[in-house]
Amino acid sequence: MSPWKKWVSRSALQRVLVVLSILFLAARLTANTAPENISYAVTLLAWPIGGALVLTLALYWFRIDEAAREAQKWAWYWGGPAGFLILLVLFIIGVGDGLVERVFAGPNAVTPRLQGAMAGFLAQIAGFIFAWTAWWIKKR
Amino acid sequence: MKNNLRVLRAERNWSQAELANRLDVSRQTVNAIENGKFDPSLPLAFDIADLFNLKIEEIFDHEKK
Repeated sequence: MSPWKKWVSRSALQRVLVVLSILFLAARLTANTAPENISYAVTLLAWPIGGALVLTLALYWFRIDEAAREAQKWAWYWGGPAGFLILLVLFIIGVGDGLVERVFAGPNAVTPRLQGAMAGFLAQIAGFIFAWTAWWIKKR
Repeated sequence: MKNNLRVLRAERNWSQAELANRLDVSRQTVNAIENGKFDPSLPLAFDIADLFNLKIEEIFDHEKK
């Protein structure tokens, strides 16, 4: 058993509590120094939520079998960059700006820099979902 | 890669889900292997061979290109 797998399987609750404590401490420290446009509550929540997400993904990775892992790897390799490239093309032909503004419009709109980062992330996720679905359909 | 997993499974009256359970993989994985759409790793191929008490080459047939 790999050290990672051992770490995850041994008294998981205890490990999760340790990680969450560290995340809460990091949240507390960064919340004090966060820029004015990011609220204290958001900074405080971002760390534990992000940490819980990473832990969930790690647990998921060790639970799935080799075909499911292959699907994940294939989909991230081909789908992620493809989604990002499509977004890039949309920006080049001049459709991207309007699309991003429409998606992130509203009273709580984030900064343009964060909008760009989120658009890139969402485009990769969309590409991944498409490629992952295609992989499983092809392997049926 | 061709294989006779479906025949071996049918001889034992196992469903795909049952075989998947015995191999600790998902039913979709068993289906993909049976259809020759997914080649199992060497450890999984050994597990399959052990389960049926056969050699790997008695289950899987590697077609040389």
